[in-house]
Amino acid sequence: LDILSSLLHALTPLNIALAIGGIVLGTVVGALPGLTATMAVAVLTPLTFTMEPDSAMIALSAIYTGAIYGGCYSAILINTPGTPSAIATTFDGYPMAKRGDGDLALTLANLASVFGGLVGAIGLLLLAPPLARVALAFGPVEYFWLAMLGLTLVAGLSQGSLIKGLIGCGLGLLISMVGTAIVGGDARYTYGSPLVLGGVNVVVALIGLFCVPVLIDLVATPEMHLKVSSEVRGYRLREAIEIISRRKWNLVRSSVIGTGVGILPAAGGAIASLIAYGAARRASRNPDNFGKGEPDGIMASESANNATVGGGFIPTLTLGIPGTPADAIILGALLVHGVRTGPNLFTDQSSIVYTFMFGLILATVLMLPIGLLLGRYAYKSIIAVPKTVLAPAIALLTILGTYAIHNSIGEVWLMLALGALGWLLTRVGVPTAPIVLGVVLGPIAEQGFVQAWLIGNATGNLLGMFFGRPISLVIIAAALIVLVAPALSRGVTARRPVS
Amino acid sequence: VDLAFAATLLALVGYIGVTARGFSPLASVFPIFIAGLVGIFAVCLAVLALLRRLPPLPASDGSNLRRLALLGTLALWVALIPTIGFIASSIIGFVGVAIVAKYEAWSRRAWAGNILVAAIFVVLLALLFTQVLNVPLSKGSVFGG
Repeated sequence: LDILSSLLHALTPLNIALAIGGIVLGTVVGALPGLTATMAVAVLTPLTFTMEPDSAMIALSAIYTGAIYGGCYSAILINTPGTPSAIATTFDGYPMAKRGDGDLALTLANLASVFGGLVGAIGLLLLAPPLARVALAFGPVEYFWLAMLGLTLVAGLSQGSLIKGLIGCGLGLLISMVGTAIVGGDARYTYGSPLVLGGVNVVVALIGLFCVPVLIDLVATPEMHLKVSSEVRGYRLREAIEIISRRKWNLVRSSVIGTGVGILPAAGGAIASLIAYGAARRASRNPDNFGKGEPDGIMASESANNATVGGGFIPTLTLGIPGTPADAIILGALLVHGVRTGPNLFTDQSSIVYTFMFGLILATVLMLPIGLLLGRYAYKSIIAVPKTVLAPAIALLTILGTYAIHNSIGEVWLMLALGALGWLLTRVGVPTAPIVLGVVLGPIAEQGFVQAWLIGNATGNLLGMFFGRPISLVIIAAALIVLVAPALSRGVTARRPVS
Repeated sequence: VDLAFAATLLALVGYIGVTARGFSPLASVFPIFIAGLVGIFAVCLAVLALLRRLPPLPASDGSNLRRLALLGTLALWVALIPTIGFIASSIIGFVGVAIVAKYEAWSRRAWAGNILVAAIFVVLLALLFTQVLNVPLSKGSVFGG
């Protein structure tokens, strides 16, 4: 009965209006490079302080869900992920847009995001307490290996040579070491400059390494940015549903992966979408089409990253451990509203929690029409705008988005320098996605590595610490499969007689 | 190109290896580990390049002059912000990047239209950031005092 009343409470006109407003605001902010889901939640949290706790939670979860989804717009249309969660969406989204299927790619991303978001939210509703215990089984060394798995995945999945993908990961990790050491506290490679004392900001690296190379190549040729179809094709919803119904297992698998990875604090949407993308490619009958505009790639990435929203709330609500920075802000807002997270939350304040969960489901469902409308508008705008407006508009957003992070001109210079470096590296065949993921996962990897190294040394069992724990071994095996499988499959294909 | 890239990476790895020894053990263990991995990858890259087992480099098309002009314009744009402020420098930068991206001759009307679009776009975004998102944008030493 409690659950039913929570459902009805979530469906009040005010809560529905807040969910719609939150989705629109979140999607717009998430679509702008530089403005992350965390920033959207952080900026809009104070507006919710005067609301009832359940309404505030519904508004915040709608903003967060919308921002994670919004990242796919810029990933598909300008090859720049709005948030790190959308890195894998660029692999196939942008090639689809370039060949004139950007509208279909956006509709697929919308449907996959809604499906993934619903699986994550239902996972939160039904399985929160038992799943939260999984997160507690992860120690420092597991987080280190999880970061390594994410990096080997992105290296293996990016276009071009595997060794150059791995070099990209290494370079990203080296960039992440600039600044105050996460363990030890030494100032590393700062050369006396306070600008990078706190490290190279992930969003600065994301904008520089993805946006600037796109801009540099955009102005170099007179051709249109995206191919434009002469026929009016609307949302291409029927076509997208047909594609999805043929590949429903990809959607289910990716959403389950997203929910599972979302539970692990700090792992987040970037790792989830890459793991789901890798799994989709391995299961596909056409693995060679991945990276060239394969709908399965977009579906895997988008369903997984939206499923992490619900998954991430599981440790936030049941253990008080926020899965992502945005979850941490929402946790703070919960405390302001007098909601005490922890194992007793579901018994002590069940009404608020269940209203919040139904609100998350409501927001995800509303993302379907709102996302389709916004996606259509974004696509029409991008293809209609001439290059003489598109290029400076992207440049303006790039500069403004970077400046807005810490109100620092120095970070804008850093972004430009990283962008020029990123372009040079793409010319020698090093893809940008592994570099960015290296910067994103560097702190997690270093913290896990150094803590495990310390424990291993203290117990006199360094090798056992890194290679003797069951969960670590499973993750290491998965990473090795990612590295070795393509070479093995090439060998098998080469040996197979030509019929 | 691949051999030169591998050599550059090995030089970078050497530099990190030497400088990391100056840090405390906790702060140096990860840089040394990752530098070692990058060093191994660089050697593998050099071997693959010598054996000609690497895929061809991406083809470079388009004008390198325009690419350099874009980077120069972006640098000038950012350099002007502390002096003349965000709005004025962005209108100049917006039009500058549009000139780098244009391939057709512009009529007087097109010039006026482009400057107007730049002004509207910049002012609207400045309003969004300053009024809604509370991001203080530089007014510049000339206009801001």
